[in-house]
Amino acid sequence: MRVPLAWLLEMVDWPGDVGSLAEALTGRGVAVEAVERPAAGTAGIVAAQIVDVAPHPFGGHLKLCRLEAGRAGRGLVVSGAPNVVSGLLVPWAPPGARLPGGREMAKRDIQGVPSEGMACSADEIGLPGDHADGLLALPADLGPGDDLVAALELDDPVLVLELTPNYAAHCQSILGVAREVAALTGGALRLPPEPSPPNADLDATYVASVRISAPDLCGRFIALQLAGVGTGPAPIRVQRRLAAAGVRPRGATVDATNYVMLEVGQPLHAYDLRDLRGGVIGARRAEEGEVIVTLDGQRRTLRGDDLVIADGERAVGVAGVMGGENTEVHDDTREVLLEAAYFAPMGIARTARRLGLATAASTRFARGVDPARVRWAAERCAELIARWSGGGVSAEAGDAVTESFPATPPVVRLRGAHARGLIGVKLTAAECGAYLTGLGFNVSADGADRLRVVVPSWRGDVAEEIDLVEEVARAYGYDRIPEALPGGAPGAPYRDPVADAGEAAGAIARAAGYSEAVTSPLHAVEEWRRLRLPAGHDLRRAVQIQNPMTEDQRVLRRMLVPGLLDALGYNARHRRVDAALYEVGRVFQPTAGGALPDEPRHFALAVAGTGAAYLAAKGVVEEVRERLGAGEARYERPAAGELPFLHPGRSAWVVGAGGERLGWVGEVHPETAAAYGVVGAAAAAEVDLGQVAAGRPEGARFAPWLRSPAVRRDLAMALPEAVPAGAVAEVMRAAGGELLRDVRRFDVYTGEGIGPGRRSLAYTLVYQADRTLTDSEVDVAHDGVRRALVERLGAQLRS
Amino acid sequence: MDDLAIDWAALKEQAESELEAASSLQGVEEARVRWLGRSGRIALALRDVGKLPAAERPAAGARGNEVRAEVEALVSERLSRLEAEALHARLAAETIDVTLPGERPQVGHAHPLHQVWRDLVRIFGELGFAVADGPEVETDWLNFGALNIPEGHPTRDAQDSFFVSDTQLLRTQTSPVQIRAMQALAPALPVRVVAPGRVYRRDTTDATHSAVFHQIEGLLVDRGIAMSHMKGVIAEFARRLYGPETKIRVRPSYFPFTEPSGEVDVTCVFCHGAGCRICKGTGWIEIMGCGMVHPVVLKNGGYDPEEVSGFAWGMGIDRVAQLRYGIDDLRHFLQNDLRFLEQF
Repeated sequence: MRVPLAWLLEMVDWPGDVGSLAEALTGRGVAVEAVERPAAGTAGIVAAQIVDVAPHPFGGHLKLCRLEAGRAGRGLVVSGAPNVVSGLLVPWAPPGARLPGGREMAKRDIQGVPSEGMACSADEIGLPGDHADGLLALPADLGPGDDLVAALELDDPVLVLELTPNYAAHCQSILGVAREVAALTGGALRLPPEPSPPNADLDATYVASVRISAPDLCGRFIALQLAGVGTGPAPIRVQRRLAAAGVRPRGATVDATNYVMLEVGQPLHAYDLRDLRGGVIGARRAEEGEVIVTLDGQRRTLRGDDLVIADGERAVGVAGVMGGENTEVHDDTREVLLEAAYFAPMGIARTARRLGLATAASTRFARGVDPARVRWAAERCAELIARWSGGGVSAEAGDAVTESFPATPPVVRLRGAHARGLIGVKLTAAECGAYLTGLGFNVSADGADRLRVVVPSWRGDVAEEIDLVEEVARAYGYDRIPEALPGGAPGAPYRDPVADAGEAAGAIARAAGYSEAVTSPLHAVEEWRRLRLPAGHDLRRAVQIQNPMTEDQRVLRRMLVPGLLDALGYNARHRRVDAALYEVGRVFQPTAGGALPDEPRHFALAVAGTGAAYLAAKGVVEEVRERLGAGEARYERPAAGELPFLHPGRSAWVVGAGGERLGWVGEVHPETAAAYGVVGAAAAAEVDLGQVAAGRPEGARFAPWLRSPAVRRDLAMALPEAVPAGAVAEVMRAAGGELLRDVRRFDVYTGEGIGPGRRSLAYTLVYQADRTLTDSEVDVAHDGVRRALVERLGAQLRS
Repeated sequence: MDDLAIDWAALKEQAESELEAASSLQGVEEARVRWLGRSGRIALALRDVGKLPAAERPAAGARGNEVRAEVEALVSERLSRLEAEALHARLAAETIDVTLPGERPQVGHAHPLHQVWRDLVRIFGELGFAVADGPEVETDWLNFGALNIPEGHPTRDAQDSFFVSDTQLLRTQTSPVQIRAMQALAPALPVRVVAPGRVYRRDTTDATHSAVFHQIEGLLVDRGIAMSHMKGVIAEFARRLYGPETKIRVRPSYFPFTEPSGEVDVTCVFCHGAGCRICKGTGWIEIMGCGMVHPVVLKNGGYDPEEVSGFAWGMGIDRVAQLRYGIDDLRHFLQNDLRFLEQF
């Protein structure tokens, strides 16, 4: 909503400047987003009469005009305007005057003749109008010497309001904002005068009756028929105000509808009577699929719950949203049907939203216009049209009212204690009442500490006691409410072991050189191809977005790693090939039966370039798992196709002690890495934090270390390559029993001396007990390990 | 028997001068062997003591032992001096350019959103608010209906949503966690929670819009809670986040799930109220929305609005991070450019 200041001050006084007004309104909840002063500094432009016109000595289209501006003096200007004629009253910017935009006038030669400033067209002094029309002909109520800056509000600031839905209802008009100002100052409102449109002494050529066949969507429909309407423009001041308010002037008739809409918030529509058919006008539901071409030239396809304005034969407008092209007012329109109506707000909001058509009318109807101003607005508009372009009311086609018209304002009770309790300020009911009265509510006492409040017609947003509490609070002033800390018991405790696990995993990852990423959970279906997921793969079972805006918003992620790989690719494209990222976040798994998806939280990492190897990624996963206190884990080679985005020979499931899959780790399949734009090798891992944290014991316990000496024995063996190191360690641990405290691999060797398809593994075994072990005790245990390796794995011992 | 007399003084003097002359550890060691060794000069001289007349032997022996101790002391003194010199020389030789850059461990960086997230949770934790959680895929009812946003309400327009089914959507705000937290606790009091989380809106991504962003929501429900408490808690929060001089200003506003509602401004973090480019000259920066929990929302949470009241607030984590770090483009947050991440 744009509010030209001069228009507002016509209805109410404000003691300060525009800045303080903006601040005060904002403090009231009527947020002033900006104060525009496009023509600040404009000065010295006066009305002047052309008293003599002579041709320019050098010919051409230029003329010399002698201007007479009363007490503002006289002067000679050179003008090339087409409409220069003696007697015309025009704007004159003499030397020293400043035009909107800052240009300062001076005496200067135009083709050899000195011009004392210039005579101006409308656009040159910031008014709406076409430069080609020539000098602006000033209205007759102005005289030579009048200051046009004041008279035409040339430097008037505009308040730009950003209205919230509750205040939007009554503040989408100058009158509504004036009411808020009056409530602030306690000053009087100067309401526009009661209208009394003249009757046209012409025969009506068309008489329509009004019919509402959708009484739930249309509460009132008034149609006035006007005849003898002229074709000229609205007065320049009106055009100026409309333009400042953001509405393009379009001739007196349409300008009058817009002027009244801005003035009191009631949208109006004018139809060319020549185009209305069938002797009837009113509101009905659209037929499913009905098509109408609106004023903007667009074909609109309607639905059965949209409301249209229709004559006897066809729709002539989308009710409350936009008129139809078929009945548009033209330059030669002499007879008009003027509509003023009340529509059910929700219906207008629904249609406007569906059509994507937020018009000045629809945004007002959708919030609920003042039901007490519908009739008033129709008459005010008829009066203005008559005043500005002639003619008058030839007939009243009808004024129909239905059940959905809010004829009686609601009555709401306010308890003083309730207001005090919620605001936190000691206010009596009488004080609350005074604030409400200032805002236009009709208040009376209703027992001790209780008020009976009649809501004014323009406050359709107020229906409950809590709404009144809000009105009292904002009238009292939020700024005056003191700051206090609440007492009371502390809140319930908060424990989220999975979140804690995420924090711990993140700290470990950062210590290992990984930086934290935050990637979008919205993924493209294209990810599936990059990840080499075949049709039917479980990871393609994703939560689908029904209304994505772009292809990369089609599904919710099942894994974090694709987002990380994408980020690695992004960094590689920006010359950062070595990169390590991790993320802690939710993934989404569809569930059956319409329940919300599962949202397990995962920890994932991805690394490219240096260090992008299976064992490096696995090391971080191990560290995370171990620090989180989860029990033993096994690493199992995935079955073919289970993890197709990973290197088949360098990937593994991370399997918990109970056989549950905690996640996976591996080098990224070269095709997947390439698809994401990762340069060179990449490794990645992803685990379910909930699963990992579930293995966490109650709390860490201190374990005293043994003071007796440890005995180390080294062991090397050759084995078929297919025997995994994990199995070797398991055999050694089982055979070594309690005395074997630790097994550390220190060498892996393939090649000469070992034989094809075999490798050598070397370990240090540490034996220790709570007493000093004898050599023979250790020998027995170690021999057991050696035997087990030979017997169970076919190891060929080398030392 | 004069020729048998031992000139201990001369021996000592000679030993002294030899040790003095030894300029290396090895030289000292050679001198030590020469003088104090098993067949060193002093040992040999002591052996000669036996050849002396019996009356002279005790005095000469005692004198010889004295000289040996003196030379021993001399050797160790000479050794330690040379060791000290050698150490000094080594350290001098090891001098490096201390202005060379340090060899830094490769330590990763926490994402700025996460750092801000943690700070906000910590501050509200200090003020007695525990974290509450809710899913990102939410029911239409909890995201809108239960929050007093019925079908057709303009707020639904402003928060264009991604739907995953007719009744489920990606939450457009963290506010549904208010209902979840109340329902989990009702009728117990108080409810004191904050809910940080990710939210989604069907916005075209640009410098100031993102389809994916983050909010933190707070809720306090108890007996006798008033707007003054709301202002008190938010002011305390603002001081803890932006510094003790920070002031707040609450302006009336509108949210369907609170009434009365407000927008909270803080004194500009950059100019402290003087007016600058960031605050557009106003001296104030808008940081959050707040309000008294709407009676309908209290009811939907399982509480009687005649018995209890409460306030709620919500703010954008991304916005706090933008202000804190001077990040002018929202897209940085989800791009994961290491040139960005490594600055935090």
